[in-house]
Order: sequence, then structure tokens, then C-alpha cells
Amino acid sequence: MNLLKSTDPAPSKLSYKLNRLFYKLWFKTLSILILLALCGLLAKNFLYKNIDVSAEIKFLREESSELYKDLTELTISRIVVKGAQEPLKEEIKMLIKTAANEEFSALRAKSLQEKIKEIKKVKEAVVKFSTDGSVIVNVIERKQVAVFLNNNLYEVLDRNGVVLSVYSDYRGLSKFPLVVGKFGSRNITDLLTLVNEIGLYESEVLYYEWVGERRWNVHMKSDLVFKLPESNLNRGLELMRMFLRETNNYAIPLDYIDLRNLDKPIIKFRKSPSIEYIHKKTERFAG
Amino acid sequence: MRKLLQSQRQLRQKRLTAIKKGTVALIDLGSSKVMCLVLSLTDANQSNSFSDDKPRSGVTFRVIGASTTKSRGIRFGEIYEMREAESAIRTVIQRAQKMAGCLIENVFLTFSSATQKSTLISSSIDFAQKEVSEMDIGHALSSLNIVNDDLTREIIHALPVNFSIDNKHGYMDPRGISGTNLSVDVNTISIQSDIIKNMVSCLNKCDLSLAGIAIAPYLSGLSSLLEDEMELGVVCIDLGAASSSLSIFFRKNLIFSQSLRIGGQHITSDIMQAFQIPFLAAERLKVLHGGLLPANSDDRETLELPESNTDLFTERRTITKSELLGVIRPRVEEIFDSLRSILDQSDFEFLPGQKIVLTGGGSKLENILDFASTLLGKPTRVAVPMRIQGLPASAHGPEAAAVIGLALNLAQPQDEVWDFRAPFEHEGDEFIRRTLRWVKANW
Repeated sequence: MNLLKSTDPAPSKLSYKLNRLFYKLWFKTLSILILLALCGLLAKNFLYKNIDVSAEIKFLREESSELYKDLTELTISRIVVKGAQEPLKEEIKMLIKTAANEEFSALRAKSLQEKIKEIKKVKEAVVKFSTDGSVIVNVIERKQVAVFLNNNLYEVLDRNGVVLSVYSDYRGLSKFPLVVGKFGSRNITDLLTLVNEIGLYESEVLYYEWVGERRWNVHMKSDLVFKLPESNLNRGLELMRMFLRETNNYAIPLDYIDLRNLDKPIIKFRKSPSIEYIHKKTERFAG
Repeated sequence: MRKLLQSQRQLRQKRLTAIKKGTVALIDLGSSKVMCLVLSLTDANQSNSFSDDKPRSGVTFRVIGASTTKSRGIRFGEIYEMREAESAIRTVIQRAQKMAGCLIENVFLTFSSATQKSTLISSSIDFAQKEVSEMDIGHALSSLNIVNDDLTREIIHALPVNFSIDNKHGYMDPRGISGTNLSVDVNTISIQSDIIKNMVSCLNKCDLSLAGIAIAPYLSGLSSLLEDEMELGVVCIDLGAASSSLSIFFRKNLIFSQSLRIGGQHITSDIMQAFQIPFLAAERLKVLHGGLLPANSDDRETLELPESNTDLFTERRTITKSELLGVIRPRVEEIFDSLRSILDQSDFEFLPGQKIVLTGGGSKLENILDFASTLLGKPTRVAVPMRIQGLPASAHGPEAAAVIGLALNLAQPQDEVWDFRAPFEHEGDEFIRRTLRWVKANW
């Protein structure tokens, strides 16, 4: 029996059913219709891309008879932008007006949507046309969360590290934490966690430095630098907060507090303190 | 009776629908091969029906697709392994469909079942002196005790074989003959209903619809016998792979049919056991070198037996042809002995014709003609089935007799009991039917 099977293989149920299906008239008709529809779509897409309808209308209006004189582009009566701050609103409105003047085909919802999304501050945009000629734009605006110092320019970043705007002056940006260091802009999520953990002491921070692409240094306005560990950042921040509470009690100014080794924090003073002072501090921290 | 008539008429209706669609497939489910022919049908617009109550048009046909595959899951005309049988049917249908270039939906099926039982029953009715009408024939047929008491069996053929009016026999069409008594003899052929159920289920799994069913011995006779032979009386022996069947025809009607569970595969099996060779090698030996009558050269003629390729150190074995004949002959003798005992019981010797016709794959065995005529003591011939239009030469041989007969039966079906209207069916719509017939006749 096995020999017979190998010499005379039977079709599988699936191939048998498919074979039968291909002989059915309705299936053939359906296949041809789908093929025709696909061809139509491709042709439409090709024509749409390669023919400037606006130019064609202009040509007709200018060159042809009276019949086409009133033929004009789509007019926009009102532009409504939702979900964006005023400067962005204005920018979007300007963009839509410019697009409407440029070419007829640009006034498609999808095309406008793409153009609006090209604005860096826009995270997501949905454009709708209403019958009365108004354009309704719903946008999700990217929020400014940090400033990154890059080649003497201040780049305003969102949560994902996207550069929203660039300034040459830091004035007016002081409400956002300042980040420096190579590739610092790639770790905005980490930075936000850090800022959140620092909490009340955030106002005392001058800037945050991303060091060696692996860890953070926090530079305080008092010239004190906290060197945070690569791992176990929470524990490092806890110690940092403890030191900050104590810093005000220091008689001698500190240069930096190295928390990279959490078991052995290193405190560097600007001037050498007396032995008694060190003993006193050590006992205090030792608990 | 009413249930039997209804079910058979439903099948007849399916047959008509299938013919109207223009393409049908015929499948012969054999034990060694499954064969499929696809027919393209055209209406010939000729009424050939005996009972023209519902005139049926004759059809002409042309074979537009043919395929054969090795049989799987079928033994003695019964399905033993559903999945295997299903895959065999799928194979032939897909190939035939590809060759025909059309979709096959309706299938006519034939097979040779060892469980078939042929019974001759008769009934008679008395009526006032008048001409016999269709209604009288229907009345006589409905008074037959045709319903089988054995619920495990199903009647697939009920052929009226003889009409008698006032003890005068041999009427083929008694309409218009005057008399007072009409009797009818009907040959019913039944098989176990489970076999049909399994086959229908198997076809359904292949997305096919059964439009008709017929037994192979009857169809082999239709395709292989000459008109004169059928008129005088003849025995058609279909030597199949797993079963051998016998059908007796008289006055162009099948009057008896029976099957044996011995066939060509048993001969192959004997060769396989005698020489310890694989089944396929034994089949090859039987087909190429097999024979029945010994010759002087048989002792000198040696045949090399195939050996396993893995055993390099074994010497190649040879046998003489006489040894091979010594294995084949006893089994063929057994087959013909059994057939002769069936013939003895069937009162064949009283028929005017005494011819025996061999068909089926087994009839290709060398010298079988002389062997059979000697053993059965009757004039014998080996029949090649009738040629039909479009049939490939490779598919035209004694082994295709049943499927060719099925095509012939499809084109010109013989009237069966359910083609006549029984009196209990003449109620309700009879008046409207008659009125319509009158309007049609006088328009």
C-alpha cells in the first residue's frame, strides 16, 4: 500500500478544494473583478500623483472658453485648531492657508495631515473638512520638558528627545531642567525620573550632566556636584537628598560628593578641614 | 413501497438535473483501481422511455476527461478505510477535472459488491376484458412484494424482465394488448445499505453529489454483450480484482446476478506467498508471464524473481514458467468451479443461448478463453467493451467495461419499477395531470 501511495499521491484536502474552487464560474468572475479593481486603484494613484489637478484647472480657466471661467479651487471659510497652544495654532493656520494657495491637490485631508505632522511640535494630527468650507484640525502637541545644551545652542526637547525648538539664549527657558553632556538628549525619560526624585531641591540644581554615556552628575547652584551611580539610582538619590539636607550645616564648602560607590561615598571639600571636623561629620553620618 | 419509490425517484430527479447541467462524472470504485470518466452530455431529443408518463429524452455523450488511480481503502466493493477511499476519489476527480477543464459536481457510481443479492419476484392482476393501459402496468407493479423485509439491505435495481397476458409470456411492452390477466416478473438487486451509506458519505466528503448508482455486473454486460446475445440469453462473467461476478441476460434484460469474493488479487496473493516476493512483483509476474494452459517450453523457460537490493550476497532466484502456472491455475479453477455451481443453480441451461462472455481485468489472462470453455463446457468469448466517443485508447479495455456500461446506461436507461406510477400515486394531481396531457396532445 505504501508503494502505491508514493507512486500515486492523492491531493490534499486543501489543494483539492482550491482546485475545485478555480473551476467555479463565480470564483473566476470575482477574481477578475478584484484584479480590475486593483488595476483601477493603481491607475488612479498614478494619475493623481503625476497630474497636477490645480494646474489643469488653472490652464482650463485661463486658456479655454467662458464655460470654465467660474471654475475655481476649493475655498476655506474657517480654520479651527483644537488641542494646541496659541503659537502652534497660528503656525498650523498659516500652513493650511499657504497650502490652499499653493495647489489644489494639497487640500486633501491626508496631505494636510502629513504637512501638519511635519511641524516638530505636533505629535499627532487629524484633519477634517466640513461642508461649509471649514477645516477642523485636532492636534496632540508635544510638551516641552527639558533643555539640552548642544554646541552653545539651547535645544528644547520633549519627553521622547525630539527637538522642538532651538534658542541661542537660555533666558526664558529656566523653568525646564538643563541637560549637558554627549548624548544627554537621548535620556530624557531618565532625566525626568531624576528631576521627580530630587523634588523640592530641584530649584537648587544648575544643570544635569550625562557623563560617559552611562551616569548622571548633578551640578548645584552652590558649585557642589553630586556624582550619581550608574545602577541603583534611587539609593543614590536618597543619599543625595540626605547630603543636601546637611549641606547647609557645612562650615567648609564642598567641591563634590561622589556617590558612585554607594557603600563608600566620597566627599571632597574645597579647603582641607580640621581632623576634629572630619571625625565629627563621620560620626554623624555613621549614625 | 412508497418510501422506496420516493427515494428512487429523488435519485432519478437528481439524475435529470445532472444531465441538464451538461457534465457528469462516472466513477467505478474497484478493488484494484478507481476509474473516472467525465461526460459532456447533449440532449438528443428522442423519447426512448417505455413509460412515457414523464417522457425522458435520450442523451448523447462524449468523454472529455478520464483518469485512473490505484484503489485505496476499498475491498470487495466496500469501503474499509474512509480516508484512503476519499483520497483515491479526490485523486481521480482532480485529474479528470483537469483533463475535462470543468467542475464536477454530480457523480454516477458503480461498484461490484460481494453482498449483492438478485431476487426474481412476480405478481399478477385480473381486470375486465380490455386493453392493457399504463395504469394496469402500474397496478401490477405496485402489487409486487418488492419491499425487502431485511432492513439492512437496500434495493438498487428493480427491473421488469417479463410481462405475461393470460399466460402468454414474453411481452416486452404490453400496452394496447387485450386480456384479462396481467402478470409481471421483476428482478430486484439489493445490497447492504451500509455500503451505500459509506459511499455517499465518502462522496460528500469529496464535495460531490451522488446522482445515480448501479451495480458493475449489470453494466459490464451492457457494454460487452452483443444485442443478439442479450436476446437469446448469455452469461457475462466479470473477473474483477477482489470479486468475480456473473450476470445472466435474456431478452435484453438482466434476469440474474451474483458475485463471488474471489478475484485476480487472490491469484497475485498466491504468487506472492508461493515465491515470497512483494505484491507488486507478483502482480507484474502474473500480468507479463501468467497463463493457464501449459506448453512444452514452460519447463525450460525461466523467470527471474526480483530480489531485495539490500541483500547483496543472496543469489538471484529463478523459477520456471510451469511453476508459475502451477500456482495460478488452481486458483482460476476455483473461481470457475464456483461460477459453474452458481450457473447450475440459476437454470441457465434452459435458455436458448448458451454463450459465456468474459470481461473485466481478469479476462486478460493468457489462454483464459480455452480454459474457461473447457471448464464450463460452453462456447466462450472474451469481450472488449463497446467504443464510446472520446474515450482514450488507454482506458478502453475489459477492465473499463463497468464504467463504459454506466455511460451507456446513463444515455439510455432501462425502465425500472419506480419509473411507473403506482395507483396510490394517481390520487390528488391525477385530474390536473390528465387535463394537461390532453391539452398538450390536442394543442
